[in-house]
Amino acid sequence: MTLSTRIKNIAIGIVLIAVAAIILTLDEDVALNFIGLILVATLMILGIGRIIFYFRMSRHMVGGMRHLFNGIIYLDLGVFALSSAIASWVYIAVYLIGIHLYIGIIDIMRGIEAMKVGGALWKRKIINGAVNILQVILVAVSGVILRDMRMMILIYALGLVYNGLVRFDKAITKTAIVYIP
Amino acid sequence: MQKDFHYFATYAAAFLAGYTHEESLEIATADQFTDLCTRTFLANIKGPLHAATTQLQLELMDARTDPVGLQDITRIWASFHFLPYDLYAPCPRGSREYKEKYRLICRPNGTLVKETVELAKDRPLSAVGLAMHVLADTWAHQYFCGTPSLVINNTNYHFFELVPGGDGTDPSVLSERKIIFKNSLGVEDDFENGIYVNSLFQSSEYSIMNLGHGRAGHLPDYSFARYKYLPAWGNYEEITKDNPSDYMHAFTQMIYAMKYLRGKIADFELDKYDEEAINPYRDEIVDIFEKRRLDSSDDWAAFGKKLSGREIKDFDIEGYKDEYTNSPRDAKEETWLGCFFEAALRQKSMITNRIFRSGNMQAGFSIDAGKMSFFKGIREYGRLIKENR
Repeated sequence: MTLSTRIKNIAIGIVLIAVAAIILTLDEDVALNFIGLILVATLMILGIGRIIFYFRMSRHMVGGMRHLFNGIIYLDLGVFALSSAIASWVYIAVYLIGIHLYIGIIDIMRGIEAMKVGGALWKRKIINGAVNILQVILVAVSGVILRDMRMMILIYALGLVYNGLVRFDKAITKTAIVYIP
Repeated sequence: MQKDFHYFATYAAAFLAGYTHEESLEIATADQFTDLCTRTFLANIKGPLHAATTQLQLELMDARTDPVGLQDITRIWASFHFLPYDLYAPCPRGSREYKEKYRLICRPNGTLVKETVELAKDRPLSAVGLAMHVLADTWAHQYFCGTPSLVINNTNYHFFELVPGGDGTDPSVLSERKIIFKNSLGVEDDFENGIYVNSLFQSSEYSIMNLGHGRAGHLPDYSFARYKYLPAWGNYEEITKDNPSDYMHAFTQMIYAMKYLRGKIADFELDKYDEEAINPYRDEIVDIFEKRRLDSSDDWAAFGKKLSGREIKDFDIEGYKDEYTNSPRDAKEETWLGCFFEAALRQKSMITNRIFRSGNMQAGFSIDAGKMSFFKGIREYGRLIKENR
């Protein structure tokens, strides 16, 4: 991992934990709207970034279409979240479930793939995937079944803290990777 | 390419070009040293850091991937290991950044190879060795570029090895076998089963994982390898790489280039190979290239000994290192390493300048360093510029 990436990871970690702390201090309704806006901003930035990258660079790359599809999906989810975020906490819960389920499944699949090809980070990926799936279950139980908003906000904040700590871990862990110039 | 070619085969090529045993060893040492002259090494001997011709894995891991950091990486890798083929190559598609990277794709027989060889003319033997390294790598590393780029250097699952007699029948028939890539640490390539180590897929355009041929593993470095794949930049056109043939071209072009550098030939022309020099040994050389193994150093050393009748000692830089560190400051430039550093600076300066002058910013600005002589390491640039005026 490059020095700049390590610094970036530490900065992102601090921001994630700070956002978690802010969310926990806010009123229930404001916190939910805040979560919705974070969701919208993240999805839209990701989506627009990937679409721009597709048109600038990967349009002519073998397999580069994946950047466009990813970008459209993220942007579409972002626009849809924007229209529904303020409307209802149910959408937020569904989005949280959907996104964490997606990340969880992808991480577990990548972990299994890395394990098969002897990759060094497979355990970390599987743990990450499992934590995301656990978050999905807890959000589903607290938000959708029990309708306990405070609990859902707490779980979301803990998820952010976990991701912040993962960033710190990434930044300070020595990375030994196969590198062939 | 690895030590077996860059050191032992270069020795043989130099000897066939007419250099003496001692001169050939010097050339071979400089060729191999191009893969080892890192900033860490230079810092240890208090050498000019700008003369680095390669980067350690550790250095790359800590390298900046902002524009300035990427330009630094490009200056090193494009100048010494992935020489651009055509800086003005027509590229009807893509953004400016895409076109700039496309034009850094390495291939043999580009005009920069000619300039590289000509730059070593009437220079010390260490400059000749360095130029031979650059020339040889244009054959091994072709179709990849010396800057981190997903859109140029990536490969995908469509990757097949062409194995002689792989179907258990006629050894002269090549059979296709899908290559399995692994990202395991400490695991060696498994030639028997077609399992090779490559660098991890990273979707970031600027990840160092996307520098050079990492995504194709060490396949370009093996003289026996034949394979076909879809390069990321190739508009879905398959490339078939025939390393035994490419390595033979590299070997014979090196002999031709070194005959030019010795003054036996008046002009260095592209796409010319000294086939005549190797004719008596052709079968032997082909055998070495075709053997499926990690390292052919022993065979090349034996071949070199057969040519010169002298034992080819293993690569060793310690003597030159001691000479450099023990020399007084004003005499360092006259040492073997001092001459190598100067050759490296000249090469890097020339390539960076050509890239910049083509309107390509991937290697950064090519400045008039003579005006900035107070910076450490710039002094050498300044001197080179003065010489060229």
